Amino acid sequence: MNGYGGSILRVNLTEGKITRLPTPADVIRDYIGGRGFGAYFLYHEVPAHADPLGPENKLIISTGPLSGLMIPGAGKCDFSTKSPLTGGYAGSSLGGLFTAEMKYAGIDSIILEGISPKPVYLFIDDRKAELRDASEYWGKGSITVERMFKEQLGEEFQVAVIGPGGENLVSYASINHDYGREAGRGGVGAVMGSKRLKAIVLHGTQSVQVADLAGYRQAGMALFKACKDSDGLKPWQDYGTTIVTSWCDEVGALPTRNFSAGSFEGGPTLYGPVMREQIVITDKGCFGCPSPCGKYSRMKRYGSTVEGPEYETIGMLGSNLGIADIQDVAQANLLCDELGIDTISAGSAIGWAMECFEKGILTLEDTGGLELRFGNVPAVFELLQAIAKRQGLGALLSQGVKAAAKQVGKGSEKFAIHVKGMEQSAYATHNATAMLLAYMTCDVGAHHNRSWAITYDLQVGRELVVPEKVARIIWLQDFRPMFDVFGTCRLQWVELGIDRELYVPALAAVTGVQRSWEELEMVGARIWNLNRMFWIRENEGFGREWDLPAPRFYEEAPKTGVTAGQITRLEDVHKLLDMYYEQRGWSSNGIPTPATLEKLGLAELAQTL
Amino acid sequence: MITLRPLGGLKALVHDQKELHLEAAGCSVREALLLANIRPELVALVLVNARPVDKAHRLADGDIVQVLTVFGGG
Ligand code: SF4
Repeated sequence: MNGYGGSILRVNLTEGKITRLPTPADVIRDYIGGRGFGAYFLYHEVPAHADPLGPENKLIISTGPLSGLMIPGAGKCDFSTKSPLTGGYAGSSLGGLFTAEMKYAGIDSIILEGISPKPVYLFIDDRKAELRDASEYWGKGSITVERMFKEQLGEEFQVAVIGPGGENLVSYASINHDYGREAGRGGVGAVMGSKRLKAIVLHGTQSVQVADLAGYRQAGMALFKACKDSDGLKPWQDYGTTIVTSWCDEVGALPTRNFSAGSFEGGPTLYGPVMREQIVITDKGCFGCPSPCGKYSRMKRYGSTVEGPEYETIGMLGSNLGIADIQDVAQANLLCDELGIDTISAGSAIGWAMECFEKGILTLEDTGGLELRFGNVPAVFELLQAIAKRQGLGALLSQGVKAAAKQVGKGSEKFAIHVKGMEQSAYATHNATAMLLAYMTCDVGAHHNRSWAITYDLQVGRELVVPEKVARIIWLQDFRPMFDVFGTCRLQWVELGIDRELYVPALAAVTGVQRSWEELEMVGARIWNLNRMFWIRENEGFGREWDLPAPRFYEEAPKTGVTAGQITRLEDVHKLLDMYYEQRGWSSNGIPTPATLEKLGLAELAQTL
Repeated sequence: MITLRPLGGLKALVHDQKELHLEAAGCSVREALLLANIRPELVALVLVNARPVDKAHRLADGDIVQVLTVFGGG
C-alpha cells in the first residue's frame, strides 16, 4: 500500500481489546486518507443517534498518504467524531510531531470505541499497542502530563493528551500535543474524556513505502523549493497568522466585544509586530515545515511561556473580550492549553456571558460575585478554570453558547455567536457576505478553515450577493480540506501561494495513483456531501434553519468601527443559501438530492433520505 | 523615488510586476498604494526597509516598501 501505514488500529476501550486490520483498499480509493477516512468511518460505523459521549460514538484519528513524508508540513492528522458541541460531524486537524510517528507505527487510522471502566492511556511502540493505567495522570493539565510522559518514556514518544476540560466533558474540550498544538474544535477532547482515555503516546520506526522513489524526491523537492522561493516566506515566518490582526481591525473583521463590532480601540496593542517585539522568543513549526508559523512567547508579568497566541486566540480571548494586552491574552491561551479547552469557543462563551452581564441578563448572583465586564482579565482567568471544572457559571458556559443561551433565554440567543452550535471563529462578518456564507455552510459549524474569503469579499465588493461568490465558497470547500485528506498543512498553499499543481506529482509518486485536481475536488465534494448526510441523519428536522448565522449579523449593525451601520439583510442571507443549495445540487431545504448523491458515488445514501 | 514590492498574490494586481518605482517620497503608504493602483484595504502587512509600519507612515526617498496580502486566512 504505497503511501500508507497499511493498518487500522481498532481500540475497544470497554473490553480493553486492540486489533489491527489492513486498511481497506476501497476506502483508500474513494476517500484517500485523513479527513476522508474520518468521515467515512464515522458515517458507516457510528450508529444513528448515538450519544456523542456514550460508548457507541467513536473517535477516529487518521493520517493521510503524504503524512510523515518529506513534503512541506506533512505532519497533520484528522480527529473525526460525532460532536458533543453540535450533535453533528466534527473534524479537527492536529499539527506537530504526532502524525509522523503514527504513520511510522504503520497506522492509517486509530478507531477508539467504547468506554474504559477506569482511566487509561494508549501506548503504541511500532507493532506493540496496549492500554495502560492512567490514574497518575488523570486530573492533571495537558502540558504537565505531556512533560511527564516525555520524562518517563523518552523524547521520541509523541503525546496527544486531554486536560481537565476533556475529563470533565466540556463540550469544546481539545486534544493537545507538543505543548501548544491542539485538535481544538468540536469537542473531540470531550469524546476522548468520555472514553476515559487520558492520552495516546506513540512512537514508530517503520518506513513508508512509496511507488516511485525518484519521482517522490523530485516532487517533494519542488514543493520545498517553491516554499523557499516564496517572497511571502519571511513575513509569514516572522508573524505567522498574526499578520492579519491589524488588517482585520482595519477592515472591520476583528471580533470585538462579543462580535458587536469588527474594530477594537485597543487593537494596536495586540497587532503582530507588537506581539513579536514584546513577547515572542522564537518560532516553532510542525513536522517537515519550511515556514514555521508557531510562535513561542514569554509573558514576563506572569513568569510563564506559551506556544502562541495565534490570530484566532488573539481575536477571541483578546478583542472579543475587550482585552487589550498581549501578555494577558497569551496567559489566557496558556490556561486554555493546560486545561484542554478550545480558545475560540471559550472566548465566545465568555464574550456572550460578559454581554449578558452588562445587559443585566446575568447578575452577580449568577456569576458567583464576578464583575463580568468586558476587559476584566482576572474574571476571564477565573472563568476559564470554572469552565474546565464545570463549576458555577462555568458549568453553563461549558456547554457552548447555543445551549447556554437556550437555558438562559431573555433574548440572549440573539447574541450567541454560532452556526449549528459551533462558536464562530475570529472573523466578524457583518458585511462580508462570502465569508458569512463560508461560516453558514461549513461542515463542522462556524469555522474558517474549510473556506475563507474576507480578502475576496473586499476585492469583489463586500456586500454583493452574486453566484460567483457562492461558486468561490463551494470551490474552496471542496478543495482546501483536501490538504487534511493528504495529511499535510494547507498554509503553504494558502499563505505562501505555492502552486497547488505541485501536489499532484507528489501524490502520484507516493501512492502510484495519478489524480488531477478535478478528480481530487470530486473526492472533496464526496466528503462534503457525506458529512452533510451525517448531519441530516443525526438531527431530526435538519435543514435550512441550521445554516442560518447568528442574528447579530443580519439584525444588529455595529455601532462603532469601520463597519458601523453595515449589515447583511436576512433576505440576502436566504438568497445566498438559495444559490448555494442550487449550485451544490441540494434541495431548497439544503438536502442533497438523490441525483447529486449518485453523481458523487454516494447513491446508497439516497435511500436514507 | 521609492521602491514598492508587492509580495505573493498582490503581484497579480500589478500585472505580475515584482517591483514598482514611484515618485512617492513624502506620501503615506496608503497614498503610494493608490498611486500603484493597489487598494489599501487589500494589503495586510507593510514593511518599510524591513520594518513593519502602518499605512499612515510617511515614506522617505529611497525607501523600500514591501506589501503583503492575505488570500487564505489560516
Ligand atoms: S505552517 Fe504552521 S501549522 Fe502549517 S505546518 Fe508549518 S508550523 Fe505547522
